[in-house]
Amino acid sequence: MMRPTAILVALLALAVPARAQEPKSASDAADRLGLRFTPDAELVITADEAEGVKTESGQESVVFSKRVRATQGDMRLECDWLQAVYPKNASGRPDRITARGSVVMTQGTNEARCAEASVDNVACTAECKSEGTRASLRRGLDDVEANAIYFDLCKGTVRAIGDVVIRVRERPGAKPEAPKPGEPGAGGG
Amino acid sequence: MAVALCFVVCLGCGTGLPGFDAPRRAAPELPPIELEGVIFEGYRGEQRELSVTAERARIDLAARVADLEQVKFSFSENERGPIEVAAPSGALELDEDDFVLSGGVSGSAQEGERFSTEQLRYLAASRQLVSATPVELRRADLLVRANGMELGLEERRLRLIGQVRAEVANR
Repeated sequence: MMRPTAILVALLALAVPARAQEPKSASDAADRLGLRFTPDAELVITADEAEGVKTESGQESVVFSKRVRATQGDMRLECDWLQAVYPKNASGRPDRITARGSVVMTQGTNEARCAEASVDNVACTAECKSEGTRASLRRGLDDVEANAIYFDLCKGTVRAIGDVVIRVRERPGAKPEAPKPGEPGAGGG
Repeated sequence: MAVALCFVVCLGCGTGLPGFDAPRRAAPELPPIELEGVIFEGYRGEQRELSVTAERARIDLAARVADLEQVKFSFSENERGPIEVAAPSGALELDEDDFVLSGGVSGSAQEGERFSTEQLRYLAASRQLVSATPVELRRADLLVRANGMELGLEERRLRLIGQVRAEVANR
């Protein structure tokens, strides 16, 4: 059964202006449904194959394919195909990452799923979207479904766009909220 | 592609040199030729696109193989910088223009990239550098490891194969 309070909390997490919900830490961000990454943390990408290719704009990029996994700090990304685009200053840290095919991004208990995701390390944002199916973001038993889900990876906030559905499920064994005095079913009087 | 041979310093091979390009039927009768300071050059038209230098070479005309020591391989084109590879030893297959470099190969793949591997093969027909031994590639603070690689010299396209792992360390 869905609890009105929990639904409201989830809606607030999605709708309140970014400044008001600015998290204090990565774990705080995870508590709010969003994803937050540590840009200076070690970045590891593993795959069965990789190929160096130049982008149309002449930037160096590496395309990883088959069983691709990327981890940075406590954030993990899995997909079938990933392109990491590197800046022209020869840094080893990619500016931009595009992932395709069964994309799963996880941090703590938060898990985003979509067909295509792009991460902009410069703007500190990520986008998760699906053609045909829907993008989803799950935290424990609760989830958000939308046509596209956008993340501010520095603030840990999230924005869902297009036919948004939010499902908040009661935890097994959770005690029902006690009605406040004066509300129907509060008893006393 | 034609491979030309330049003998910068040649010791103990006084009359042997003219026989290097001898017809196959005459080869078994010739003893191995030992050379020092050898340069093999490959041309495409007027453009020198391949240069292989070795401190020492032992050319076995019967086996049609040249065994090389302290080898340096350089592939260049007009518009792009050279790709250079060095190894303690190598073998040149005279009929195919193919090389096998071994004993710890190191080189440059693309701009700012360095790689190392135990053994590397140059396939002249497809103009590829191929390694089936573990490869380590470095570019700035990026370290990539894989079980093997293929580097197409024509397109400068690098493909890493098997258990690819790319790491960027903490800043």
